[in-house]
Amino acid sequence: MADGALVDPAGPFRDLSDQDLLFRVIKKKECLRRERLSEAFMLGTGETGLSVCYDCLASEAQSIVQLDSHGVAQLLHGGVTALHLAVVPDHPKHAEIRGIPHKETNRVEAERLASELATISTIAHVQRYRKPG
Amino acid sequence: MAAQPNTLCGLGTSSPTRSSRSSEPPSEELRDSLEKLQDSLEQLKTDVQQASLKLLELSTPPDSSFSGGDVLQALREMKWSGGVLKVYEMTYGITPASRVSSQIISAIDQLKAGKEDEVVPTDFAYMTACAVIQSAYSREAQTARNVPRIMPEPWVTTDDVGGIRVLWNFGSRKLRANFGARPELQTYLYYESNSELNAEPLDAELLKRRLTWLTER
Repeated sequence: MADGALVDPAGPFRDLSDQDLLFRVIKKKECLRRERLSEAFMLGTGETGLSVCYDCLASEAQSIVQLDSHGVAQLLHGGVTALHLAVVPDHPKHAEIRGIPHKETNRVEAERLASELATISTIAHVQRYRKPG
Repeated sequence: MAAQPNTLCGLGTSSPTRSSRSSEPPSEELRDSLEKLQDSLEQLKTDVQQASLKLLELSTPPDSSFSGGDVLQALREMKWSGGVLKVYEMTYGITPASRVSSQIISAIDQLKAGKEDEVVPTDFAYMTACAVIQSAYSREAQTARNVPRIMPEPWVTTDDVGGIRVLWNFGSRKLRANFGARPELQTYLYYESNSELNAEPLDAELLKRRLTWLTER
């Protein structure tokens, strides 16, 4: 930069609106079944939040996160914040849903929020994706 | 099924019972009735076996709206459910509970052998899950009073560290058994309905009670 100011390469990012769509990549094929979708919203060990994509098409989400997966669920940003959860962007097309506890620290809340997030989600894209390499 | 159930019911309204109470040898009428009853029962067993196999076959495709639980519920809702279920058990030599139990154990074994999308469960989770499931679904446990005959089939999966999760859904009710991968990780039973949700310790007795809760009206 001409003025010598430091620019954070990871930000800043735009504010998300209630109508913004978030895309959650589905790693287990069985989670594509409506009644099993909640498992896709359980926080993994060491994760600080649930990985979601935004500002992209549902069909692009799998290649953004580059995980072996079977499809993509979509949910509205407004639906997530209504559950008192925050969506924190960490990339122009990627964010984390924060505020979900791990089942080891708060099992009831972890399970309840997984159910709630599944309830406000729909399957938006079904395709087998294998990460490159 | 033709008219076999009616034939069976019809025999129940005749008078063989009165004759059988006496010390006299069975009358010809009674022998005929018994033979008809036996024939009817054999025919009914065959019919139920074929119908059940057909219905269970329908439950095989992953996208089918049928499941074993649906089949049993359908049978249960028929007025002659008691007889049909009894014949179902006689035909297969198993109860709905033992069938579902076998399916769950088989699913856990498949996870242990390695399955796509899944982490291989730890020995600790494997042994805990098998012991609790088998005990909760055991014939002894499920012949207790007030245990439902409807047995929803759960989904068996793993968490990211090799714990086992068994998930049942029935209407708006959800039941999730979480078997921790290691002794220091949480093993619990989570239940949820429109009016309540909580988690409790996971053992065979509590699981059996929650399975009853899952399907009670």
